[in-house]
Amino acid sequence: MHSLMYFKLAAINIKKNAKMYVPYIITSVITIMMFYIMIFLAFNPGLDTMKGNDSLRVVLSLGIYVIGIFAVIFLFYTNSFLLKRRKKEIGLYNILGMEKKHIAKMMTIENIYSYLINMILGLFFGILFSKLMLLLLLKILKAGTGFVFNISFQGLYITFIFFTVISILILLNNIRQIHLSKPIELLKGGNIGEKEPKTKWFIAVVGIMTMGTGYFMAITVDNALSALNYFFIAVILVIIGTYCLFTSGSIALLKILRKNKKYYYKTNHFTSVSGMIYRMKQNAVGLANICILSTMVLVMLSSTVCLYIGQDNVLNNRFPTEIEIKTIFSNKEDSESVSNTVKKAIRDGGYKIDTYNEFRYKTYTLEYDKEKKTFTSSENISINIDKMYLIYFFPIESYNMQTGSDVFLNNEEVLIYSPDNIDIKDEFLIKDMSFNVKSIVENPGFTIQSSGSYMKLIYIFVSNEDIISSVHKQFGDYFGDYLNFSHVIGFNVMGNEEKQTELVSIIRETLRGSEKYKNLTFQIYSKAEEKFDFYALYGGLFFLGIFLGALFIMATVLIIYYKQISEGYEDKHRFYIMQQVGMSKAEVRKSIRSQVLTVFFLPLITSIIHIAFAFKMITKMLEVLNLTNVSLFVICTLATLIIFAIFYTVVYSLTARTYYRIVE
Amino acid sequence: MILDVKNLKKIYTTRFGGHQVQALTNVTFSVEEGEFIAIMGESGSGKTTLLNILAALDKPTSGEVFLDGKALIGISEKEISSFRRDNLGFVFQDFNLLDNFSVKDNILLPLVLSGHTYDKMSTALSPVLSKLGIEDIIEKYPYEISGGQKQRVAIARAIITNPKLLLADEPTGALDSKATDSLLKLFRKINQDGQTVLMVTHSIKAASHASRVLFLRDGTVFHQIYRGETTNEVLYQKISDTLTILATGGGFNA
Repeated sequence: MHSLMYFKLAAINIKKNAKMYVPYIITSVITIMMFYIMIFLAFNPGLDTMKGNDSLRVVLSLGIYVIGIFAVIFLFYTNSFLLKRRKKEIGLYNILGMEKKHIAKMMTIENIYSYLINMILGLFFGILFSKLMLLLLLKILKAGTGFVFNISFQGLYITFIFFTVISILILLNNIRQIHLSKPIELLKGGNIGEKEPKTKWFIAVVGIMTMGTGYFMAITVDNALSALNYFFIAVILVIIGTYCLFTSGSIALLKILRKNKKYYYKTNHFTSVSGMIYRMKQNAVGLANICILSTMVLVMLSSTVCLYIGQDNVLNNRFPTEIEIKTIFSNKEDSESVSNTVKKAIRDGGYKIDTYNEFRYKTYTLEYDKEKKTFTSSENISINIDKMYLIYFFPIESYNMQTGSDVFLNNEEVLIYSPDNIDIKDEFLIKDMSFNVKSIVENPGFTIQSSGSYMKLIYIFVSNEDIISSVHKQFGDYFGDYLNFSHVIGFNVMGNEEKQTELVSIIRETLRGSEKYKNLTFQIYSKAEEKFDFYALYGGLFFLGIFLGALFIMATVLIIYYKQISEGYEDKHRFYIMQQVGMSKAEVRKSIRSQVLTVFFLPLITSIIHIAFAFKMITKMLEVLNLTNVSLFVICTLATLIIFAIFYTVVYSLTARTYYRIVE
Repeated sequence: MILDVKNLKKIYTTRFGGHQVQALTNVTFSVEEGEFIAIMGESGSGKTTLLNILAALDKPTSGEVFLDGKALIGISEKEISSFRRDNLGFVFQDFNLLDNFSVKDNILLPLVLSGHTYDKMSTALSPVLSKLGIEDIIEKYPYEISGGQKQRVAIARAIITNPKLLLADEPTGALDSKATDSLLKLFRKINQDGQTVLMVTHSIKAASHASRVLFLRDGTVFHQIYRGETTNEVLYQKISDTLTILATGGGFNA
């Protein structure tokens, strides 16, 4: 055969299969585009000068990997779909006298065509939209225009190599499939798999068990640490469960329904039960894919949106005051001296400050036994995590100073404060020392930066620092033989953020530069500086959430579209027969409609159930990221769900039109 | 008289109205209860159009069809499906069984659609199965059985409702000669049990099992042959002769 002929045939094939090819090409182009943009952003040299670039770069690089892995899976999936639908055509070529090597040659040229289109358009749109994405990212990060806009040749290079390799693998896979198949099988292509599916009880049971375990883990989790530990296990279990139940569980259930003769032989149930058995067999994996993708989109969008909206809230939790000077291992003299130095720096610079607070404290992590009302040192923190308390000991003078009150405590008396639900009421022991709770206060007058609540937090105010020493001594050298206090000074600076930054650098120089303090360890923060780290991390996550969300939604749309088309071709014949046998057009349409609706909304409903079960776990994990506003997360999740459901319905009804056009 | 067809005329207009094709010019015939009619004719003679009109799947341009005294043309779109289900049975060349139903469920389909109880369905099922000799395969699926068996199942589905008229469109078209023979015998048996059958066919052999053969040409009933007391072989010869005349364009002076 003349070799020009192959090029012609390949071009004709693409044109003739436009209904299948165009969505494939659009998906590939978008995937390539997004991959390039992600690399462009992650390696943008402008990032180096930005505050908080480390966290942002980590987040964006994560995005590159996710898109990369996704691209491999997804392109293989869509390609296999494409190949399956074309088996008949390939079989026909084979029977008409083309040898397999000729077909392989034709396929190769077809793939090269689509590869070229994908690559050229993908990189073109990548370069085109990278600027737009850059601006969007900057807006989200609330950062100035520090980024450099250019064409990332590194990005082009990596994208080019990566997608060329994927295309070659796909091509090899196609050629392998053609070589393995027999012409008769190819001709029948679409009709193979009409066999009634077997009930795989084992897999169905595995599905129920894995899904049940995953759900159980998610709802019984009650602290952030175990949420982090179990999240991925639970996710994997639920994914396995979803696949098992979609593939086997659905069929098992339908067959049970079919066994019930009184139920099954009813006009409505008859066609829908048997139709669903058939559909679930064809579509289970695709539907499970849609379900998992939707769940991923929903979780990602709702949590990143929530983090982003709540970031100022989080920032305030993390930094109760604008400037904070913390001295670790500070004795009383050091503390006084540091305090005076800081006050002098404020005075000398003529800064006006407010909400000044200063306190010394000692922290312990202890296990609390509810029955014995006793705190003891814990043997195994991670096992007893829900009994663990993070205790801050303060001398009462800190409380008096902050609240302007005048509380006197004798040696056994304490004041306590906790933001958490605690089991302590009137009295308790710390190892062998007993204490009486004089009162539980609502507001201690200050907040210590809370670094994620793995444990319950409690402030204990005691009469004086000697009491704390006695507590310390009881534990021997368990907490080190020398008692170290931490000393914190926090305050807000009146005026704009520049004043804050100015003052904090003066204090930093004075303290760190002084010979007197060379043995002390300082942690000096200003909110104005730290917030960029927050914005970089949370904004980066938000951006990634939107970006990947868009990608996954596209994947969902494409899978739905392909499903609708293949359903359409398969239903066409059944539709016709039903009418011949005496169902009216309206009845047939109603029956098919209800089945198609069930099939397409099953994944959405399942993913909503997944989200409902995962909700508590995700809330706990957000606590680690300092987000404790549960009602905000509820709102974000509901909003995302509603928007997604609307979007899903729109996509469904648009693709359903293609379906009905094929069927009728 | 179970079926009365009067002056049927069907004109197809192409989509843009430019071209008109006359599929049926003027067809008039009637069928008595218990008859086995074969309708023959070349491609384009109007066989399929006639069958579609009789099956109420298509409407004629003019003319009337009465099934057991009821006018088919006037039935509303709403009632037409249930009318078809209750009064007509269909057998097709390519069987038209549904792959996702077992043989049993395929046969029961029309009863289920009519909303019968399961007990009633079971009672109706067994005599039909034994008549067609397919008791052993009822749990199987269409892709597991042979063409001849498929057609038997299709017949079972068509007669389980006790239709007034059984319409068959080239029922032997997709079968080998052995399966064809046994299927035709089956049609005769069903007919002898009292079922009125109207079969459209190309096959002389199939037509030679009928009690009367109608020939269509150019949209009209051109000729008909009664079996009378003759054997299949004699009828076969007669049909063959008629077809030769039809093909060579001669006329009859019957």
